[in-house]
Amino acid sequence: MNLAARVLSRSLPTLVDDGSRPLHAQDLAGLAPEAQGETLAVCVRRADDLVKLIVAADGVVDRLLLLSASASPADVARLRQAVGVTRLVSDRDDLEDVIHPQDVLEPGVPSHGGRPTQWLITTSGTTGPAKVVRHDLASLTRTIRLEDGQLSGARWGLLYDPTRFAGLQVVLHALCGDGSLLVPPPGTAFADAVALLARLGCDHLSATPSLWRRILMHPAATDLPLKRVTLGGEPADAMVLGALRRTYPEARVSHIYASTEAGVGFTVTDGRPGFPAAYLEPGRLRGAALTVKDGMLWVRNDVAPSSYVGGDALAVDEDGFVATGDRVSVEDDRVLFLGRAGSGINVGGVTVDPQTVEAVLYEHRQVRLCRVGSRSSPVTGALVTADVVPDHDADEATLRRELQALCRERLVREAVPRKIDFVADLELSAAGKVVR
Amino acid sequence: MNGSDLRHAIEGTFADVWEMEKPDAPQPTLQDDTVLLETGLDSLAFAVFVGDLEDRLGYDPFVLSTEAYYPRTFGEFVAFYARFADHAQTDS
Repeated sequence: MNLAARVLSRSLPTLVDDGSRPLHAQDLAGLAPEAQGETLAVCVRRADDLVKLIVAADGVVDRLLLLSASASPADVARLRQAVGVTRLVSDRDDLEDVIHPQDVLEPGVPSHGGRPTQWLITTSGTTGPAKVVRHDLASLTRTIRLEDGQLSGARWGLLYDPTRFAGLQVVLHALCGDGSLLVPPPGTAFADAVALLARLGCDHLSATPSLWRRILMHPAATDLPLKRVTLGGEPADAMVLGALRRTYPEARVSHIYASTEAGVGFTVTDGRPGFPAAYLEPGRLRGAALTVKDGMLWVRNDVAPSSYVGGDALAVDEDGFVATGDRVSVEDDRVLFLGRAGSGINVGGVTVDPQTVEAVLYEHRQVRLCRVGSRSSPVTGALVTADVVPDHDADEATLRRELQALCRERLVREAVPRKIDFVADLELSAAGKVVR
Repeated sequence: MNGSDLRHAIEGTFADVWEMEKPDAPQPTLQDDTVLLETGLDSLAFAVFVGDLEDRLGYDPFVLSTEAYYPRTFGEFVAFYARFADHAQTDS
């Protein structure tokens, strides 16, 4: 069944509610004939437009690329070319050569098309340019079970970007699971978004631990009638899990571990950090497998093995497992997350590559050597820091300001070093590389 | 550091972080009942704020506290810091 067939077989009519203009099943539309079989890219600001487009396109277009509404024009152009997009649908006025959603949607029931549409999802990078990962509806909806009574009538709050993997999971759970999507309108301030979700009766909410810590700071947090609390994107520590269980005693608290590359991994609902070692047993997870090799977690998606589009190859071993980059330790009946392997720094769910940040710092001619690291943060997990060996004639205060301005210009906010220390020297290895 | 010095240090750090993160927005006035989330500081800026306070004061109550406590208002935030003030480790 394509997405349209699944959505049209629902019993509840409301699909999306933003507090003023709900989208009902009867408002859905089909895709204009000329767009069929194409590589369609979608870049829209409103969630209801996104829902209409994905329902119209799945099963009808060859490939469907979802672009974030906040993607820069340069990124959009780059991805368009890398993927071979034949048609870009957008309501933005800063993009070239676009078709407005109204011009590609046709009144009428969306088609129960049988074409095996590839869904192309982007992941965020340290400087912004995203990679594209290939999925299909089957791999994206692997964990949605219609027979799960808790899903029907669920009111899913959306605080994530709906075009990224985590947000798309929420969207598809709501659409395919007979629930509705509660979406604060674009530009809503975070505090107002939480208040709106409480007012709309949000009972299923998915967010990163960093976002949850902020939600818990909101006076309206206790007004959210939550039955299902989901955490993902970052390790969930015992503190935030405990606070959520106490604040929402009626709710089931789950921590989802997933990677965009491998698709949904698994869910933990026992309220403890990490996951049961039993999940490592073959056949234990539906449609996926987990294994630990040399202290790192590897995942295999058995429904639809995914891969990067546009030239990059995923690191896949001979049994089809993908390296997640997460270091783990197995202790008795539990597997615990130790942090990222190699050098990736997790800042509020965004993975920052230190070498990319260093490359930006090196663009300033007064930086002789630098090393980017992290400091732990109880709020976002980690913050990026940098040690810099400056030129002799550099004025430190001025250089610090200039480096921060440079980083703000070239990198996503999470990657900007928050603490820049000037040091006399940095140790070099025998190979001449800065020792981390 | 006494109570009003602590509050002053926290306000000053907040102002510095705001200036870096939201230079085009007017500085909010921080009163006891000001809801932190409604000031407009997002998760990342808040993390920077807490990190800068640790550098300035020598401690981080979010790390020291054994219970998961999330202050909602500025008054609660200052009181939270005051509670752990004897953990301050500064060079002076």
